[in-house]
Amino acid sequence: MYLVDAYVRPAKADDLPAIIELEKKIGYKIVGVDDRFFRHSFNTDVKIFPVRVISAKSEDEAKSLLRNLSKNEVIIAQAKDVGALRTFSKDRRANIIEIPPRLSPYLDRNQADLFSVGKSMIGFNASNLIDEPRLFWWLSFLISYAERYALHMVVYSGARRFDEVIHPKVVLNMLIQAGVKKGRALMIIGMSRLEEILKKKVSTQT
Amino acid sequence: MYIEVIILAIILALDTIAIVILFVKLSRLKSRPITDSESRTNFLASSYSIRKLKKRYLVFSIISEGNVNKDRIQTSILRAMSKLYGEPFAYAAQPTLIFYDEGRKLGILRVRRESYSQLMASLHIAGKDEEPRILFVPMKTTGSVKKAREIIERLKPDP
Repeated sequence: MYLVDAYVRPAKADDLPAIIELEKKIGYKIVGVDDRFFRHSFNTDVKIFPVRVISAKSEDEAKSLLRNLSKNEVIIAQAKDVGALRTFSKDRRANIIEIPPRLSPYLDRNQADLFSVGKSMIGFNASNLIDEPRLFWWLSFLISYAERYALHMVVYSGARRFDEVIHPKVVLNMLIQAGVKKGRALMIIGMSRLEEILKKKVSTQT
Repeated sequence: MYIEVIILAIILALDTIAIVILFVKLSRLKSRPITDSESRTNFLASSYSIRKLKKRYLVFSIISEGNVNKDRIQTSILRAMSKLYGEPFAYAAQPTLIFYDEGRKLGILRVRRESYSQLMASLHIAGKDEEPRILFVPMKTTGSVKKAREIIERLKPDP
């Protein structure tokens, strides 16, 4: 089990080496980098992989975005609408799905079944907490939903600058505060499901 | 008949002893003056063996682009906890910066043991509201300030 930060999105290309160095220093072994910055080469021990973020406001838009995806990237899908949420969650190409708080009424058992069909994970971008700390309740809600229906959950830093990188101990305590038991929180940080996805991506490349 | 009388006498004697002990304790509580150095909470804890409030000491380092002073760290921690858990909780948790080395950017934070997890969770948003922004890196947690200071001394100074 390695510590994984599934997504960093630097504001400038120059910020990326500093972010990666810091991630390495605080213990992360695998880091997902926004695909716009992934082409930059680094001399670092941290394994990095490309992540693409797609965002859709309707079902049709979601379908058209999913058709044009590359197989080598991990996909974070931001659903802005219930139609887009359902499309993303039942499609295996969307690996991580970010859900806004206003879609909370649609998070029921049927939606959980769609997540199971698509084998997708629920994602939470911790950099949103910096701008809006009240979103902490949303993290608690998502975690209780994921626990109830045995879904996978991912919390990533989404760091735009080096000071937004999140320490694993902080993530652990954040998850405990959101209502997860310590053992389960450690499993979420380890992200074994994401490792499986990465292995599949590597095997399709070769 | 005699046995019943003896049992009754023993019960009465035990009751009397219990009442006397209670009376003595109450009279000591009323008569004993509370000194400045001894808070009322500590006094009550010693009298009635209430569990002492324990603390945790977090050794941390900060990463920032500019210099950061003690006050900024103290206020940013308190503000972050207030944002996540509300002001009453933040003040009850008593997060206090008890040591900070500006040169090496290392420090020790003290917090009530029950609120340690909340402090750690709020470190992510602490120090991000004004420039220079601060990243808190938790290093080690101890139960005594002596150990925390030892850890800080053991850490190599930055080149």
